[in-house]
Amino acid sequence: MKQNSVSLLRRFSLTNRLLTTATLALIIALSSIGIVMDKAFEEKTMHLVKERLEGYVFALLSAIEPTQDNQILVHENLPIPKLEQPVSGIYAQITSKNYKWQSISMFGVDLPEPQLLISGETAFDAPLTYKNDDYFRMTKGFIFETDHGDIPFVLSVSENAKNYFRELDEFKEKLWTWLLFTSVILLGIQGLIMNWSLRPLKRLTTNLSELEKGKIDKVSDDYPPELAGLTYNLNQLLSNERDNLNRQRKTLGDLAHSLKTPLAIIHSELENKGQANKLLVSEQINNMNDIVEYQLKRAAVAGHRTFTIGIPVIDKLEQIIRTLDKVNRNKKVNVHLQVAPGAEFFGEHGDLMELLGNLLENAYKWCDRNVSITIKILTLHNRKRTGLIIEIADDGPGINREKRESLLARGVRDDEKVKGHGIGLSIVNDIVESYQGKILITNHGLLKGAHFIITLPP
Amino acid sequence: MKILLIEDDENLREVLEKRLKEEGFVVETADNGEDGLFLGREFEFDLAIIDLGLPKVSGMEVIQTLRDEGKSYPILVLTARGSWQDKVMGLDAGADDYLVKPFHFPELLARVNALVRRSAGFSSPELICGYVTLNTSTGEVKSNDKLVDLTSYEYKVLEYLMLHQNIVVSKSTLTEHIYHQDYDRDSNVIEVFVGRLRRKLQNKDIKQKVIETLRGRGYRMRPNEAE
Repeated sequence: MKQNSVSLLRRFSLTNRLLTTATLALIIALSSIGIVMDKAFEEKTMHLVKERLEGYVFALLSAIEPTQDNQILVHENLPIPKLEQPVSGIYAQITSKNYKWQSISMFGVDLPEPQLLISGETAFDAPLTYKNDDYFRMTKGFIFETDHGDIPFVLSVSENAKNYFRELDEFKEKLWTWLLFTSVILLGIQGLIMNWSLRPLKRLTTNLSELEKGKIDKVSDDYPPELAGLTYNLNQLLSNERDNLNRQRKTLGDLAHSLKTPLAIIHSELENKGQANKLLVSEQINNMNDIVEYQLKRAAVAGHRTFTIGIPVIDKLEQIIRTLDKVNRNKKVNVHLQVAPGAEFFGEHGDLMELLGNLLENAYKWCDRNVSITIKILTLHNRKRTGLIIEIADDGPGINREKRESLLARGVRDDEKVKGHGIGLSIVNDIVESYQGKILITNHGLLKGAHFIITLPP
Repeated sequence: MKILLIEDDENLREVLEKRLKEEGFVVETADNGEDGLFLGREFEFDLAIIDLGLPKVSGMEVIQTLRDEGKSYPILVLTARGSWQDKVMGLDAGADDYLVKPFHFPELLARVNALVRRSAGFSSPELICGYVTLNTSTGEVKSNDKLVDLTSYEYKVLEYLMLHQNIVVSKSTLTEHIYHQDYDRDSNVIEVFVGRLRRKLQNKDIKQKVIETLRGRGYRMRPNEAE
């Protein structure tokens, strides 16, 4: 069950993943912004109300004074005009032991008596709910000190909270409307960005499906850098596959073509009424044998591979040297081996064996006493894999210039190529070509014999 | 010389057996790895020719098992594919040389002779013991530089003794390596061959016999101490 849901999650489309996470992130971010702004606005406006009411209290304080008979006198012209307009929303009350005063605005308005506070005390009711109405009330305790004694009193200013709550609701409504609008816009932009970002992936999917249907033979190479590596390797893989198929087809074609000539000769010789020419027939059989051996080995060449594990060259070299030493025990060949540490061949195991085996077999065959093997690592910047430079030389008679050229001549038909020279070298040439490498034949400066320099790029 | 030939292809096996016998070898054959392994374990051979692609037990396993069990006679591997991987594996398993199919018989013969010689410690085709020389390539035998005419069996006895110089070779060993296992053996025949060989090879100037008889033990060839 758990595995099922994990596999379902794994198969969840990239678009849906991005959309879900982006939407969730947006909702969380905008909600937090909304809540914080709402709270900040509420606190700020409450602070303003408090300051305003405090201001009213002190303004009113300046408009009252004690009388001779220990009463409180409220001046006629109050500094707050709203206190003189009935039901204006601002209401003031002065309460002392034996005195009560209410502003004109309080006519017809019922408000509870303010708390009796001692001088210096303050009370702020926010809100004060009374008879289904909400008010904010600032109450402060004062004392008039007169020659006839102290007059303690409480001054209270109230404000109807209806406006405040209406403004607050209006603000909230606007705030959340705008946040919702912003969310929609942002989600739209997010969608566009995602569509634009995922377009190469969709294009790649279409490319792959076209590839499968056989409409195209390679994936286009104009992908962003994040996908370029993948498409490059995919194209390499396709190209290798195609090359292999072509090589095998060509091998079959060449094989059929080149076997027909010796077969025709044998056929006509056997149909000859006289005695068949044994030498001629034997020659043709040898010819056919060489052709079959060469073509079969050639078809087995795997060629450059996109995904392979590096094979340590030293291991294969030691195996081949051990084999050749055993077979050529009487010759007692001195092998001078120099292999760069960590030299690896990125390709098919069999190709490396054939390459080294054929070259070394020739070197053992032609050398007088000494064979030199040098393996260097070839690095190219921007390539992760390394290539190789393989040098094999001997102290034998060497190869003359004309033969060197004919050994490496291109465009010579394969069955013709076999006739003149060893099959081994033709195979080496094919392997090197299939790895886009180069082969150079010279005579070695020190050993004086043949010197093969093979470069296999990464 | 006694050769074990393990090859599953009937035509090739029969042709090789016939040609090797014509060359004077005693040949035992098997058409699969299991029978081949049995023969290789039970009898002493001077050389084995083993095909790599065998039914029942693979050629590689046969070689490996024989070597693991201490059989040290040289082994020549026959391979149809001829890839370096096969060659390396074959020789790593314990073979001494390889030959890629198809091959010319003289090539096989040369390899066989070279391997037999090499296992006896000779690097050139010419075997020398005192004043007697035997060329394994040409089949010529000379005593004191004069050509000696030997019959096929006399040649076989001499070749075996020369390849095993300084070693006492019993009559039964000689019989085994000269005759096929089914052959009705008569040890007196060996005595007759040795006697004839002594006469044909005798050098009047040197008193020591070229082939010594060690009573009850067998025969031994030793280079002349004076030389």
